[in-house]
Amino acid sequence: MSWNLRGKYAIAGVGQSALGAVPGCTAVGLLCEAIKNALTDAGLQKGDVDGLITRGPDDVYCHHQRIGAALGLNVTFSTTLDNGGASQCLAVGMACMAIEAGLCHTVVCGYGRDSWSRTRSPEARMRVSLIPEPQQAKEFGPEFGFIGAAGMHALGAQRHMHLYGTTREQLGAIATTFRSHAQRNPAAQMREPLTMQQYLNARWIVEPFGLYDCSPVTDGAGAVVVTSAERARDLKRPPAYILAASSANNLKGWFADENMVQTAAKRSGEIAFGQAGVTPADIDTAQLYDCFTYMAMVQLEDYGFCKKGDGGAFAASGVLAMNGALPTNTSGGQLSEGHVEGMLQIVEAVRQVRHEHPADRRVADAQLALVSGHGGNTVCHSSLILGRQT
Amino acid sequence: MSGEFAWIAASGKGKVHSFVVYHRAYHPSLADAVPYVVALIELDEGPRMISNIVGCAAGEVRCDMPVEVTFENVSDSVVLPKFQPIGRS
Repeated sequence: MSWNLRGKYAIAGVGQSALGAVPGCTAVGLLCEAIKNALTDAGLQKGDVDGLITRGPDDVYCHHQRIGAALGLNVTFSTTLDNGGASQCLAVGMACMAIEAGLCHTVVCGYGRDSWSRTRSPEARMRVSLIPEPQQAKEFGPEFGFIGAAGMHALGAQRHMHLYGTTREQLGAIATTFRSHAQRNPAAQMREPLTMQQYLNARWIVEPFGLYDCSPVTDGAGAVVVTSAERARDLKRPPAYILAASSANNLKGWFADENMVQTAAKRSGEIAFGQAGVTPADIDTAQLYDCFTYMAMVQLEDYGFCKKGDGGAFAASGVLAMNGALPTNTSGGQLSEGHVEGMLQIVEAVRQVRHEHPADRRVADAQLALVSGHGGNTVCHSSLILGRQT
Repeated sequence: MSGEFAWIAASGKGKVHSFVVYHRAYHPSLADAVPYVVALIELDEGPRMISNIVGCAAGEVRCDMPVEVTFENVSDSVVLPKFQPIGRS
């Protein structure tokens, strides 16, 4: 597979909405707020946008149309993606392809959700899932009490513990490290201190996952503006050059082969490093899709930051902290900043390669950032490598 | 992949590929069931399926543990295949 788009396109602006509990605002409203912020950040007007790739709650039909209507926007290219948490990095890659194909010039990619509000409204409290009923798996599941995304991902964590001796304390190091990052991020949803003892003493969600292995339900949105590198250089902000945009999908399923302990991140990562012409050792900061602690850990292995099976010890070594060798999820990640399906991981990677954070949140001289997206029943994966230079 | 499919009788034996333990009832119908074990069973014939481990304490379940099927009558019309450690029946 060849890729000839390296450095040809860039993210020219990023934005987000308020995060956490944002009552009175719909998922569409939150995303419109994020998009307006991203356009302002880039120094662009709504009329400059001719492409739109979005994703929102699964039960919103033709989501991009709803966003276009709310913003008052006609475009030449738009679609809604359906790869779950892998959709957001994929959207950026698709934006490059659409521009390259001559379908449009400037594409807004965004994701918004109102999950906190939904799960706290009186009628929503009776629901067991945010996935609309027609999309829920029917055969072999609820009749055995197999409910929720936590159970699905926890099966992988248990298998990893069995094969490699991974421990709860090692997963806890991920939760506590990302929380310490969120404490420096005024916008983060979860900013209270989190100790290892609190992590270990928390109630089970689905063993081996306790409360702090799981990302919170969040109201929030994020958006980025993708355009040509040439155009981005003329705009307000330093461009974050898109050096790689890849995906890989283990469509045989989470339960097939050893997919629970070696995810599609491995193949997606190999493609991304090939596209960018760099190695894992060259990456200055990683923004990983951490819906659960285990998913961040297994991706550290799959991307080749450490050997298969060593992810727990690697994470517990302190390497993921702001002063570590691979500062990871520096905004707090989905576990603590808020679960916006990976969109804020892209936003944070851009901010890091732009060197715009205050000193306590800035990765020193960040040149290369890796971003991952993961989802769609935990089989779909997508990757970006963003660079300060082409 | 062949388009030829056929039903075969499975031995009912397999092993626990992985498992999780639910300590909370996320649906009212499960209130009396907690704590219960949901497992991904790998049948000796190859296919993997979600089921429950019964006949032992949740704390005794291990990955790769050999198990065999036991059928549970949930109602007059519904029978669920569950699994128990081999030798416990």
